[in-house]
Amino acid sequence: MNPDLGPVLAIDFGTTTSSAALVDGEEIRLLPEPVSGGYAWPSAVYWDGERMLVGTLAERRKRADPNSYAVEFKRGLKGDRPMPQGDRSFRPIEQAASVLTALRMEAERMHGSQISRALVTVPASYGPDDIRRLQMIAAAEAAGFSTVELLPEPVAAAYAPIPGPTFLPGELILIYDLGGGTFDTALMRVGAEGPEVLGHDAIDDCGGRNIDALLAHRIQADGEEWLAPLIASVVTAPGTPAALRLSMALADFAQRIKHQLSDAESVEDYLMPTTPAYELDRSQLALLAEAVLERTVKCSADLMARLKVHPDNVSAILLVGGGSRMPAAAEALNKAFNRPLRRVDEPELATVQGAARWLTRSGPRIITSTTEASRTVPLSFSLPGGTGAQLLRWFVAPGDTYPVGWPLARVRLPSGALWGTHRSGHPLSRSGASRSMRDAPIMEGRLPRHGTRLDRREHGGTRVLFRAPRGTGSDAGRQAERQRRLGVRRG
Amino acid sequence: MTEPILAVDVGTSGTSAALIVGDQTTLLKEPLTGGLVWPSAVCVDDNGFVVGTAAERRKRSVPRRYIDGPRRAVDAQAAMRLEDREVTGNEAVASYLIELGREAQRVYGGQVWRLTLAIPASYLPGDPRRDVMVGIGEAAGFSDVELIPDAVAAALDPHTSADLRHGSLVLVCDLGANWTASLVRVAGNDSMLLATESSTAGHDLEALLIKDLRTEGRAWLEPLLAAPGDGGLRAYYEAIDFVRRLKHQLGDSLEVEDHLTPLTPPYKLSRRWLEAFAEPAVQALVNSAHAIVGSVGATLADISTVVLTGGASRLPMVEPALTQSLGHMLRHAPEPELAVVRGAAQWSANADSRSVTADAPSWRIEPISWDIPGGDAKLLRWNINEGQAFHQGTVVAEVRTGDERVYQLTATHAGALLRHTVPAGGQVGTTLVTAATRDAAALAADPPTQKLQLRTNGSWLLTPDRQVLVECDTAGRHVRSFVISTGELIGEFRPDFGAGTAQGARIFFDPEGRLSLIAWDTEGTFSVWDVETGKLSTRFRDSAGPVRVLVDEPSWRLAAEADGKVQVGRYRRGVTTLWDLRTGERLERTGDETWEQRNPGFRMRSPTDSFNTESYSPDGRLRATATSDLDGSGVLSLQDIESSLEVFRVQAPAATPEAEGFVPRLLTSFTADGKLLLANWDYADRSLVDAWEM
Repeated sequence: MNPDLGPVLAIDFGTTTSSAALVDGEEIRLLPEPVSGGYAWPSAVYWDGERMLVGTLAERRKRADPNSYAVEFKRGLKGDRPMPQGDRSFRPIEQAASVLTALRMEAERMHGSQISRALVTVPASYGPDDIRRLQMIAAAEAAGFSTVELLPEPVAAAYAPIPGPTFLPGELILIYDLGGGTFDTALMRVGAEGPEVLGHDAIDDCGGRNIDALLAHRIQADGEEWLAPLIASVVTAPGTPAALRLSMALADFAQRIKHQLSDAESVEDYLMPTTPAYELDRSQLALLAEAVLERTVKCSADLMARLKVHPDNVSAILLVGGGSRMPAAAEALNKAFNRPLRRVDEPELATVQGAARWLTRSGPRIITSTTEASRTVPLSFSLPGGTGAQLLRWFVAPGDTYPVGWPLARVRLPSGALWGTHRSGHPLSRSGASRSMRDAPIMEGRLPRHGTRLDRREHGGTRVLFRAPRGTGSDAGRQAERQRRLGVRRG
Repeated sequence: MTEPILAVDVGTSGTSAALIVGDQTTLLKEPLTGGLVWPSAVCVDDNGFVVGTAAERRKRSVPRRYIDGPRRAVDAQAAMRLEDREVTGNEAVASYLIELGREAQRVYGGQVWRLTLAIPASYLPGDPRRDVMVGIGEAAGFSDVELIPDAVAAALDPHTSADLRHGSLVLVCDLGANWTASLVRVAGNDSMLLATESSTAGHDLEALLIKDLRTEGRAWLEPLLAAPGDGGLRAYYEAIDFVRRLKHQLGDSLEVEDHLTPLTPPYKLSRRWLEAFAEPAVQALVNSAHAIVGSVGATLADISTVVLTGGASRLPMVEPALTQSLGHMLRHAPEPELAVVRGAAQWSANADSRSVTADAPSWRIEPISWDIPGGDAKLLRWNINEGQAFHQGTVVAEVRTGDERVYQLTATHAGALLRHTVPAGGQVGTTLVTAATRDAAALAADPPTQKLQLRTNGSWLLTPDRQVLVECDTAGRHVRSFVISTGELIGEFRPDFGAGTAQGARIFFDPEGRLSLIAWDTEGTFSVWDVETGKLSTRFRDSAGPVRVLVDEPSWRLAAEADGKVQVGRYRRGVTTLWDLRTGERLERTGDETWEQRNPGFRMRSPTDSFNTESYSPDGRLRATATSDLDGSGVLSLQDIESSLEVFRVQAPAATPEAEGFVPRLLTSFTADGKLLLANWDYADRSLVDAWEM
């Protein structure tokens, strides 16, 4: 449907996990991680002193030198402060660019040719003027994509393929996206043409990783008895590689237990072969996750309230993101809203799959130039006083007619002086009065906005350019017709 | 469109305003005093801001809510603590402007939307306080705020500038709260501030006087100032007013004496005292004046006049001191406090004349525009350089819309991009418009407008700068120069032939590049004039009238071919005489018909003439050639070089009956700016020049 775009890589760049899909025309192919073979790419990097290792490779190496490993750098995009990594320092934007470069190269290998266009999903919390939007674009450009588009994550999720009965046009769906680092929610209305996102909201610091951290903390407290001697044996000072290694192991262990509880009522696992068994059941995890889940439920409720939609009017809640696999999440939603829950097959991939599908439905990206059937001429003004003039106001509206000499606009020059602009006839003609002196040309709707800075320096002045029809006698009939059509006359 | 304008000068101590409607200017009177200078004072009472004399009156009862000279707080971008609330200078000045706006509305009988606001000369372009001043004006309810530096306004004061020539340099010495010397170029709407320098001398002077008062009157003043509650502050303000009053009185008396309160002893101030105080300040001002004049590369002799404004200019010793050290007669405006507002009013009265005419539209150029989805986008990049050609479907630029989609802007037909109207990263509104040349097919379907046609019975020459056409009458009766862009006659030369008339005449450029008229009569008398000066540079006489005249411009020689003077067998042969045009000397006389081969530089027309059989537009996109139709008639053909398609074609104008059957010689050229295509059709009896707008 969008053949003009060429191959595009749709990327869900997550806090802990990323995924990508190659979109070429109507075809969508998920990008497997070359080391693990899965579609989830850990958003992790490891600096080995020469190269930046990305994804599973970084995960595998992290125990060798924990200081050379970095993860969750998406959270640092805002300040973009350099972080020490191995023998060097990297800015989060560079770390993100490394992950995106790896995705691009793998996609190009799979596709067999260059891919210069990317669509990157971003949390809904990145508002219109959020610096992180620019940072994400810059990271993708640094990764070798020349054209980068962004899409809010819940909007992408709204386009995800959902198994089971299809929704009917008009139905309202709440999207609940609990990722590794952030929570996003959106309310969408199913339409014949595709979903329409009515509104969205997000919590920046609320994801599966927060629950992992709480669990790791609990394990440490519960296992004090056997952990303390272990810690004492390896940790001579906090911050040493051994200490980091142990806390990483604990975090991984917590995550492993959490994942197992998605399918089992209770779990028993061992941090190390020599340590005692650690036991946890679903209710204990739910208790632990309660505060985090409460925030997500409140965020969703607030969104519906803001959109003046009662939860009863919502047809279903769509669970998206790895965190939503936790049974406690479903329970919390049932308790709060009591609406049917729908899931995608792999909630971690819903965003990237949706982004890829959005791409094929988002319309063409080509704008052809508009031409008038009749001749138009550019109307330009050489303003005195150099660059930096500012358009204060237009005195004529698009489509208005105006006589020659009528003031068209007022600009403020850098000196602070206000100048007008007008259109003259052709005073240079020797053969009597100019024809257009008698005409009333029509101003076309091709005007810069108020407050536009008019910055083109030309011959020591600034030039503003917009277009107006040519004022000639032969055009008089056409103009009369247009005036009649527009029903507007001035002057 | 007569739009009322309010012009305001918010000074540190005094404010003045004028309402301008058309050419009528009315200075606004302070409602309580009826004076034209409003005290620059603001007081905040429970109902809001009170300004002017009303504020002065309130200050005794609420001294802690009184602001003397709120403009100073704008200068410093500071806030003031007024008892229980904080007030910024911007707020205070805006409240003042609101009051002036109300008064203007009352006088005018309707809302006044436009404001001309005088700003201190020290707010140079780029100073953020300029934006602040515009913001203050807008906050006070004026939609269109214009700024004018106070020094420029003072220089435009009709009382002192009426007789100044356009472009005069005016040194403005403003002795207000700050003493400022500014250099202004007075040139109507293009008047501008060239340099400025100020010191706080005025303020220092006041501080010195108060210090003296406190020393002299220590015994009785200090207890007053130390009074508890508002009393002390009240006494302090009274003391300032007292000192200012005494200072002003010294304008007309040598010594003044007054009492701060009826109960306090007298305090004396003499002019000699004041002069001693003010001397260093005056010297600083003089130094500033010298410095700024030097900073723009001028000398005091280049200054047309020195204008003295501001309240302190009434101090008697200022004028003689400045006159002596600047060597100029000073112009001292009546009521110097009002010079700025009068000048600002003068500037405002000319508002309608500050208008830029649209550039003349061009035949070859059309707008190319794209409607932006959502009505807002950032320009990501231009893919086509300025001046670069593009084809149909070429991606000319890319934009990123507010929802982060990236669109490609393509062209519906071929052309060449003329301008990057928005820089990369710049905001694009609902539509991106730029200019492009039209493709050949569109041009061919729409012939250019003929701008002018000039005719003569003689010949035309295009000067090397391709801006001036020179007409030479066939008998040399006149030489006229026309500016092509306007068709304006800029010079005419009528040579003096004495009694006789010339048979032929032509114009050439001498080796120095000066335009020369060479005319000859039937007797063989040749005259050479310098067209610009009208001087006869040489005159010489051949034995008979010539049948052909040629000139070699580089060596500045003339060849006159006479008929039948040499008999060779049965044939009469032409005789050619070569002349030195500098001296009028005869160089050579020959019957050899191959003389032209030996002297290859001789031409019938000036080779310096910029008309040619083929010419190219300055941008290299168009070629004009003289060709002929199948029937042999002359044709001017204009081609688009890139596509080699003909975009314009014009037939030779019909010959007059007298010259029936004559095929005109066609030469072409473009004007230097490329705006006009020129064709010169040379017939036996006349010569035409046509010009079309490109």
